[in-house]
Amino acid sequence: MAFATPGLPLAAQVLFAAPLAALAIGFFYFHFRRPRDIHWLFLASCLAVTGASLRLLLEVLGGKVWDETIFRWLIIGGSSIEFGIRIDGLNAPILAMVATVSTLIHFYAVGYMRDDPGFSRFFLCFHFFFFSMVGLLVSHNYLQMYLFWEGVGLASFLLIGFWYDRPAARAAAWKAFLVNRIGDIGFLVAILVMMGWGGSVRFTELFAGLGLLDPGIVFLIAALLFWGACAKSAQFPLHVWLPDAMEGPTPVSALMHAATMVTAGVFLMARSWPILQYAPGLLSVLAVVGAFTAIGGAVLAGVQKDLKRILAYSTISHLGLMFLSLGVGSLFGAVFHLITHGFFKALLFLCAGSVIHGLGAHGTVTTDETGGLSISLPWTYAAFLVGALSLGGFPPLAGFFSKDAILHSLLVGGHAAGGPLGLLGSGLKAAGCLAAIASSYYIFRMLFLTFLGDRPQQTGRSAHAHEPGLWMQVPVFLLAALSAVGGVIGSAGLLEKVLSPLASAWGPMILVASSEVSAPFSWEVAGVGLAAAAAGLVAAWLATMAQSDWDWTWRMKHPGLERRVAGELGWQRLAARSAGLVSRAAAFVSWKWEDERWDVWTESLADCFTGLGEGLSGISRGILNEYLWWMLAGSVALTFMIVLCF
Amino acid sequence: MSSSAWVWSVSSLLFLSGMFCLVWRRQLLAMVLGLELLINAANLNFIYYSGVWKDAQGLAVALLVIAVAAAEVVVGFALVITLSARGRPAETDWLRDLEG
Amino acid sequence: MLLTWLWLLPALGALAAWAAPSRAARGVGIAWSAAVLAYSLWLLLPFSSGTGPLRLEELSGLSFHGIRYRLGVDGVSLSLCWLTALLTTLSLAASGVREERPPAYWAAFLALEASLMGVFTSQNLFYFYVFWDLSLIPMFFIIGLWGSQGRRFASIKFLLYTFAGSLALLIGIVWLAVLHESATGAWTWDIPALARTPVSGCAAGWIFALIALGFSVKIPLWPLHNWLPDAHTEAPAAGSVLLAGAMLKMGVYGFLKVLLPVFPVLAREALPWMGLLGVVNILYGAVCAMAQTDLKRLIAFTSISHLGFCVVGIFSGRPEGLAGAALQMLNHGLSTGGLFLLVGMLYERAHRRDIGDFGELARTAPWFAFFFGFVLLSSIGLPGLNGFVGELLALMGMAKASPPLAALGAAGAVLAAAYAIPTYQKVFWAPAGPGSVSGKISDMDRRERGILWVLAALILWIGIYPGPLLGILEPGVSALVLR
Repeated sequence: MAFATPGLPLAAQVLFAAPLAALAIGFFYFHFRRPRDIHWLFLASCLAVTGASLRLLLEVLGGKVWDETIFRWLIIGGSSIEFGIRIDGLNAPILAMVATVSTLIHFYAVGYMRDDPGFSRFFLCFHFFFFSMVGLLVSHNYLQMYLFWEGVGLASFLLIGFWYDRPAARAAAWKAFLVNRIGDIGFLVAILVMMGWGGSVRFTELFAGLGLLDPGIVFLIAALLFWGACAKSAQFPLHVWLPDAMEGPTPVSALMHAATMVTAGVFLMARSWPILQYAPGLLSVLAVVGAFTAIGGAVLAGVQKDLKRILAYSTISHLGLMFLSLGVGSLFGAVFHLITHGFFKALLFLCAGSVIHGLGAHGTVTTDETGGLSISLPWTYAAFLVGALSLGGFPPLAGFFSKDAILHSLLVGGHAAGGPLGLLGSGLKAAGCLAAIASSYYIFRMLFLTFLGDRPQQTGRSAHAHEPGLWMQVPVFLLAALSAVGGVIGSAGLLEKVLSPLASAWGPMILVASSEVSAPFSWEVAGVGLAAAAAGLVAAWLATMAQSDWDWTWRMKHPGLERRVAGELGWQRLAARSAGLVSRAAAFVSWKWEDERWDVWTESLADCFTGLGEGLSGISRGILNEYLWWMLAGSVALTFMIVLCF
Repeated sequence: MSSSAWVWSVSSLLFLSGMFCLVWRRQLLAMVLGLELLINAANLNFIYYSGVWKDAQGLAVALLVIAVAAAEVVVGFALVITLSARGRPAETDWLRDLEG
Repeated sequence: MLLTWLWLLPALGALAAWAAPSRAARGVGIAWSAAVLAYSLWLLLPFSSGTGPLRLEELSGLSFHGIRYRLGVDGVSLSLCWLTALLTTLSLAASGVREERPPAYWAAFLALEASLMGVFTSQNLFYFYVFWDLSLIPMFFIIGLWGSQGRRFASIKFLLYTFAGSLALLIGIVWLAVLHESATGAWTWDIPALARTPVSGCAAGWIFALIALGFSVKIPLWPLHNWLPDAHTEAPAAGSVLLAGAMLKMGVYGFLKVLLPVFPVLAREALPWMGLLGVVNILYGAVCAMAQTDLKRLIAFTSISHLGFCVVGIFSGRPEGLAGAALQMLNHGLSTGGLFLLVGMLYERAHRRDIGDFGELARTAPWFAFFFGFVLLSSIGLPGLNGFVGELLALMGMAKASPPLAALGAAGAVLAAAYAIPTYQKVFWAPAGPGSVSGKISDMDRRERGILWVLAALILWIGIYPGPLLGILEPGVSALVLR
């Protein structure tokens, strides 16, 4: 295997050392003594990690790959589990994106959370998340990845419920943790299967041995990993936690629930690419689920009023697009979109945060309260415009190129999964195009409703909105820049350059069709993408800015419909009901069964003996004559026995 | 009837009546009476058989038993007197503290 | 003589604490238990190199019908001794400050420690059984004299229930010894010798069932678990710590060291049933814990759940499973011990332990929030902490033996969050209700923090780097691998 090279560079060690050191010093010293200064520590750590990741990316571009074991975690029987670092063409660019975006959002959070009493607690949890995310990306085996996967889930829980005095935040945090944990069952069982039958959890060893395994086992592993990925990446039906997760502070939503944590599921699928190739049926499922999620998320995003929820559903939709891309065989498209999505979604969230901050609101803001903010928040408007154009898919911004790659593989590229063409294929193509139109629609609707026009429901707040300080502005601009020019990594072939060695190394292991790690450009597809983006923009204009004002009128005419759509046509309530069912079942087992029946049976067993004792004690009632009768009877019996024995 | 048969029947009679008094009667005095009858029945046997087997030990035992019986009667009467001095009837219907 | 001191030292300490004047009794108790801890650690260290010697010592010549005083340890037994000593020291250090405790209290704990040490070191089944039953007496008094409201009922229920189990154990042991004597003509109570007894199928089944019954009551294995919630809830904090942390391990230890060596074939055949019961433990404990409002009762049910993993690991028959069971014993002692200590500290301050009585505790007592969260995460098996390693190993072992059971166990492991997180939220984050006592609860002082730091450090270390500890444990269980 031409993967591993000896020795880990300093940069790789910095990836772990810097955040760990920052967390330790931050917790033991800064949190108690100097909580207001704790952010310097974490900013330094972020910058160090970003520098290291960029350095590693450069090396990977030069063709280097690392797959080193750091220490043996345990050796039992025949199994050995180690901890190590793997840096190759798949995770180096993603790591660079994650590190960069995280650093920028750390800076943003300094400004956003400045007045919050839990400032240092926030940064501790936030940086713990960052550490876990980096660890997840550079793991060299599935178990290690699972460890950081759970760490990320824990951080998500702590941060969604950061303002823990709010019941909605607590409930959202618990919901996120629970749904993620349900997915984790799949991941854990997959690991158990890998250890039991696959021989190893380490990527290199497992993939090398795939051909020798029973195809059923491989399919099982793939399906279980998919289950785990669905929960983390909010695919239908395990997406229910993401909209509620917006209860967390905006930097949390921007970093975790847009750019990084939710992409962990996509990353898991990408990492497991060779396994997926052995399960082509599963790839079709991936594609269908992704398509459904993409459309569903986009449609729901188009009807939300809460700014952050629009972006949350948008994230769900884009994650669906990434899964769709994976399902039709384009690893390139998925990874490219993952990276660009990180840029522009984080940007959009930060702009929403600036709006919220600027309006002086705590938590979030609905479109009822916004409108015409381009006047009072010009810079934010400009940045948001860049983000919207990127998300919508307008050239030459980053989002256009990545969406183009996905559309290309959908419309032109053969279904590398080898799945059934025909009806399914056409369905997927239609879904992809619809999702593209819908994404452009909802983001421009959001832009129009927030920044332009003059809504009649507008409150007086928008007139007094102010731009946030530099801490928040500079990261926003940098992200805008990245969203604008980030497309170059894909179009200039940088991404292709790092991904193709990976694919060629996997090549011999893959039985089924080849996977796409590049996307040749075609004008037709570009045209389709541009048309979809433009169509969405026009539709948004018609819905919000034009005289028809359709967006507002349907709400007025059908108020019940709005409520039902917000509840995802009953899906959220179904999820809540099922959770309620489980806790009712628990109460039943615990009280009706355990307490009322089981305990009672045990105690009635004891009561039998007590009853026996009480019954027997009827012999001695205190009446002397009765005792004497017993003595008489006893002596007679004894005499008989003695006589009989002799 | 031989003398042993007489002794057997008399002592059995005494034993049975003593048993009856002890077990059936409820007044403490009557029960003590019954005890005395039992003891005397046993004594009769001891004396007779010491005569039959020409063994003086039987007579010694009988004397011992008479002494013990006397002491026992004293204890019994003392109980009865104490009870009646406290106004409680000396009957087993009323003396039930040893229960459970 | 070295091993004898393991139980003799705490026994002498019990006498010393009882005889000490009441002011000094606490100091005497803690000092003695710390000495025992140091001693057990000193004995444990040579084993860390991987294969320490199986130490044996006996009083030769004194053998009455095979009843010989014979002690022996390997990595597993010695680590359990160390765990017992650690938990005794920590729980004694945690008690007696806010409430007065008579000298008998300290003596009872040291006596309990002595009997537990005896159980974990005995190689002769007679002495094993004697120490086994001896442990019931101090615990009965601990629950009955110094527990909370329902203590009388709980202590009697505990004593009678577990004693009934011990009787089954006794019958099984004696039967086995009698069969051995009739077959070979020699009386013996040594485990390796008894393992060689030629036992007919029917009798073997009965003996296996009886001994398994005796140990199952202790673990406790569903459906013989009823005594545990009451006993744990009503015992004083230190008592719960030792009950959960050390005494429950006696049952698992019995399976590992008595049942499996003597009946390896039957154990393999019993796998489906015992494995199923283990999984039932995991799920039933978790489900019942979800619905509890009394904090101690909740932790008691989580104990049942955790020990299900031990049973699953043992009856998987594979090296990973057995090592996982051995490790999970230690893990459970640390994390559940920690939880009981924390709840005990809360109870000492507020004299309440219902979830509804608290609320928003994170604001007034942030250290409680931190430690409680940390230990709770260990309890639900968050990777990176000790619980995950034990559970993973146990499930790994079972995966090969019975995949559906392993999948159910994994589901149980993951869904443990369902009882932990809502509880944590309600106690520490949710707003305090009208009857809440949260405002009156002072945060942990240095002594209490120190105790929890020790546990937290161990939890983290075992979670991140379990290698050395597994190296100590593995030789002890490697002989038990089936097939």
